[in-house]
Amino acid sequence: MAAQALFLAPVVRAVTSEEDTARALGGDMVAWNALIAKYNRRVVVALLARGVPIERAKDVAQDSWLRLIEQQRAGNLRELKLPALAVTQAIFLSIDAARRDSRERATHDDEAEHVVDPCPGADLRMMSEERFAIADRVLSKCAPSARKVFELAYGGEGLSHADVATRVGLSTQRVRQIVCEVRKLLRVALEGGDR
Amino acid sequence: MTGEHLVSSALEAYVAGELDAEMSAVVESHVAVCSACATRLTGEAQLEVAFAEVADRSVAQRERVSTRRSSFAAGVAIAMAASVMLFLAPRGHADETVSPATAPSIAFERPTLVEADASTASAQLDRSGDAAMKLGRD
Repeated sequence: MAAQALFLAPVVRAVTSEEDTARALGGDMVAWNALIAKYNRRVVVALLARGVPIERAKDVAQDSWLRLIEQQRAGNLRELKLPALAVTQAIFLSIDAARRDSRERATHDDEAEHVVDPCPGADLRMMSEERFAIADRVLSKCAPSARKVFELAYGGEGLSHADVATRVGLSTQRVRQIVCEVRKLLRVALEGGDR
Repeated sequence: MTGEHLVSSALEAYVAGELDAEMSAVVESHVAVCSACATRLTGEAQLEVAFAEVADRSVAQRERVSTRRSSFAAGVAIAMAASVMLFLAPRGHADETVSPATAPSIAFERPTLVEADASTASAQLDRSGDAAMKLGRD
C-alpha cells in the first residue's frame, strides 16, 4: 500500500503543529508526514484500547490518514483538528470493517446470528463520571505545575515531552519525571487503589 | 522482559510512545502471537486513552473556573464604577421637577448592568460546557 510512503524518517523541523496543519490543509505532503509522525501513535493506541489487534490497528490508522489526505485533496477538509479527527476516522473505519466481517461470517455460517461487534459506539469514552471524579481528586493533590505539565502532555494535541519542557521552562528529563509520577498516581487510583 | 510474557513497563512504555523502533517491533511481534499480552496491551491502551480524557477534562474545568472568575471580576468592577457614579452624580434640589426618565436611571442602571453581565457569564459557561463535551467525546 502507498501508505508506507507517507512515513518519512523523522526530520528536525522548527515549525509548530499549527503551521504544519495549515500547510497540510494546503496539500503540503511534508507537513502531512510531520503530522502523521506526531499523531499516529495516538490513533493506534485509540484502536488498541477498543480491542483492535495490533497489526490491524496499524493498518486502520494508515488507512485513516490516507482518507484524510484524500478528503483534503478533494477539497472536503476545511479544518484539521488533530489527533481527534484522525482518531474518529480510524474508529469509524474499524467499526465499518468489523461490521463487514460480521456480515461475511453470517453469510457463511447460519448460526452466526449473534456476532459481537468488537467496536461498539464510536462515542464510547474510557471514563465514567465516577472515574473522572477519582482522577480529579488525584490531580487536585498534585502541584499546579505538575498538573499543567500533565495537561500539556496528554490533553488537546498532546505535546511531546520536549515541547512541554519548552512551554513550561523545565528540562525534558524533569518533564518526563513529572509525567511519570502523575501517571503512576492516576494509574493506582483508576485501577482501584483510591476507591 | 521475561521469556514468556512482556513486563508491564514494556507495555506501558509502548503505548506512551517511549520505546524506540526496535523495542516497539519486539512488543508488536510478541502481542501478535500472545493473547495474554495482547489483552494486557489493550488494558494499557485504555489507561492511556483515559489519561488523555482526564487531561482534557482538567483543562476544560480550569478554563471554566477562569471564565467564571473573570466574569465575577468584571461584574464587581462595573458595580464599583456605578457606585462611584452614583456618589459623584450632581444632585438636584428637592423641589426641582425631574422627568422619570432621568431621575431613577442611575438607580436602575446598576442591577441592569450586573444582570446583563451575569447572563453573559452564564452563556459563556454553557459554551464551555459544550466544548468540554466535545473534548470528552473526542
